[in-house]
Amino acid sequence: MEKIRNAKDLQVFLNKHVTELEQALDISPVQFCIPLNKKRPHVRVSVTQGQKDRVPKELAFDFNGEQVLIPLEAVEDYQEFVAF
Amino acid sequence: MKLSDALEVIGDHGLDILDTQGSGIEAVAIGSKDGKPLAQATDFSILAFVPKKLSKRELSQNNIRSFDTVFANSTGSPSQDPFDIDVVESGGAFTINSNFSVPRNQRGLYGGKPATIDTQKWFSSLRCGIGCTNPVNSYPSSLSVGTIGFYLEDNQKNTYLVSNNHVIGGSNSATINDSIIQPGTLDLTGNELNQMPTLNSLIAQLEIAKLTSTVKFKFSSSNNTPHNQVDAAIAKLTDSGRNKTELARLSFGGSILGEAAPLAEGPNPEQITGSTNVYKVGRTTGYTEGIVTAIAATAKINYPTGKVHFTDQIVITPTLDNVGPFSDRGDSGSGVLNEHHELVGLLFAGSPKNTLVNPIHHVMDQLRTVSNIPSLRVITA
Repeated sequence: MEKIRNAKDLQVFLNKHVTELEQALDISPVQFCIPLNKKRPHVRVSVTQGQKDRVPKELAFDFNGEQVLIPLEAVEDYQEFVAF
Repeated sequence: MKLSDALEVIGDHGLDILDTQGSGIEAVAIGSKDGKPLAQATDFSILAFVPKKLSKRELSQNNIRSFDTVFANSTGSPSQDPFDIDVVESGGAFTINSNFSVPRNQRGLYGGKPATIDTQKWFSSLRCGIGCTNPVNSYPSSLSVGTIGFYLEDNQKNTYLVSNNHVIGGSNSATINDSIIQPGTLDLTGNELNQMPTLNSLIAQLEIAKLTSTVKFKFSSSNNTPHNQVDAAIAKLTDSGRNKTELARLSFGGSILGEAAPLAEGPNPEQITGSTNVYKVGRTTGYTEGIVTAIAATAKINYPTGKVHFTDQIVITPTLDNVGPFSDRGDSGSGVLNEHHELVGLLFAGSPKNTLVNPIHHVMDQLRTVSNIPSLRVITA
């Protein structure tokens, strides 16, 4: 099974399948994004303190008719966003 | 007079006019005679700058020569049209802004805030980054403010301001044709609030637009979490008497030059390319700079009318050169631009460390759809 390493595909995956990703991780509250750091494209998972170990390094998903691995990076930096 | 004639007068006689003893003239220049902005003027006049405008009697009493006399003596003949010359009160002599230097023991005697544009005040010339409110259903019991992000136009030459749904659209609860006012109600002084005690009096004085269309939120429920990409609304500018010739202009220098392409996959498919250095001008924090640190962000935002789940958002972190956050309450609706002065998105939410922005292509696509105006485009310089 291949990992998604293509930034564009990761963005499409996250926009389409965020609900399934939330359900698969079963952590709340949680936020996702694709960080623009120098690491290979991956999904950054922002969680609250003590939840980091619950996030696997990758998850398998059906994407565009294929089984792919979504690389994940857990960070305990969850902060609530409010409308300004 | 024609510009070429005015230039000839200044070139041939400007120094003579200034050198005339007893005139009190500090400077001469060419100005607009027809009241239009200089860039649009077709009729020009010679201006004399004096510390204070005096009546003929005061001039005589103080032995000061009038400008029409000085003009006639310097050029050899009176002006053809009395309105070809004019006197402008400058308040004092022109002085150089020399290096601000004082003896060390006088430190503390000087200071104060540097001169700047106040994005919270009433503006005679509408522009981006200034405060606004939809006061219907809240004024006078409740005060609020957000920011005008940028402006749009359509093929019929109508112009619209853009802000957030939760700023001017009532988070889905506002009504089409609601009045939008500038400045925002939260920025009115006590005297102004007393002078405009009712909604009607407020609208009569401060309306600049009427709500046209809102991208409605799809709220989350216990068994359904629809995705949203945009918190936006537009209001059509009315004949408010405000100047509308600088709509592309940001409050702090510069103008919007276009829309940025979405941050996209680069030549290396593993990397994202596009300008990530951004800035914004907003009602609360003014001019701030930031860096796009993430894309495709998801977040759940609590609005007064319900919870909204956003996807595909841009995350911005302030640079170290800011004295505070990239944005704060009241900056909602600000346009965010990249270093090429292209619109990257519409600011709508934040946390203590980060700001969330709707990508501009989502904003424009959905505004065109909800308004049924496919020709909508960003007003640029």
